[in-house]
Amino acid sequence: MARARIAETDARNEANLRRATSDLYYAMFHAVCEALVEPLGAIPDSEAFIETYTNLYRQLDHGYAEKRCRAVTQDKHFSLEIVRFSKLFITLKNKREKADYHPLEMFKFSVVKNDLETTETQLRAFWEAGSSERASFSCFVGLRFRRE
Amino acid sequence: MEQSRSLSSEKIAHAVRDVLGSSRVRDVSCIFKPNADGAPVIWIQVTYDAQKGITVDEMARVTDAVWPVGRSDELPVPVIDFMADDDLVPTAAE
Repeated sequence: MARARIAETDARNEANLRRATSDLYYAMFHAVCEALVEPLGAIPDSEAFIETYTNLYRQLDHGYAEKRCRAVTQDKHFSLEIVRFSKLFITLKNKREKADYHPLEMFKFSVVKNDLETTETQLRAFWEAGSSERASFSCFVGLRFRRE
Repeated sequence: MEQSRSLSSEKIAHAVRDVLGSSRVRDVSCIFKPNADGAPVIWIQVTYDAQKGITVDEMARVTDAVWPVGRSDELPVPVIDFMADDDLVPTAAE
């Protein structure tokens, strides 16, 4: 979607650049949501399963995920790909807030194009990472654990 | 605090030039400003030679250099814009 927005006109369109920036963040956000349900391993085919799948998918909270991603960026146990994914998640969350809520901030084509290429690369690396690490990461940033 | 901030800006600029090379980097600017949640952020703009371009791997290595693993949680988060030096014309609003 972000690539389409940039290609749409000659790209010298502030609104398109803002929407593309927002799209990039949501691409990362939904990748984590999909990683949360990935371990279920099946397409939901019953009412109960659909409810479970939907609830799990919707667990991800923007602010909590950013906080947890910050912890991942300091954790030497995660792979380089997952650490870079976390950094990009935090970066794009901040850029998306600028894009959506700060009308006086200016957006540049080269910056958004570079963000697009980085995001596409990091998403590919995320899905090529080991499924167990992806599950471990998505649970860490997506789920709040009950205190004992 | 201002002294530590200015030292951080210098270190950031140095780290960027270390990865990209001084000839390709036109400017590195840093602004310390909290985000909407009040969390400390360093907004970094790296302006590079558009003729020479920049790769995704280079952008990742710059980010790794200014945001190393094991960094204190209390330090500002770096948010980097990589901008080509021929991209200075303001974009028109829709």
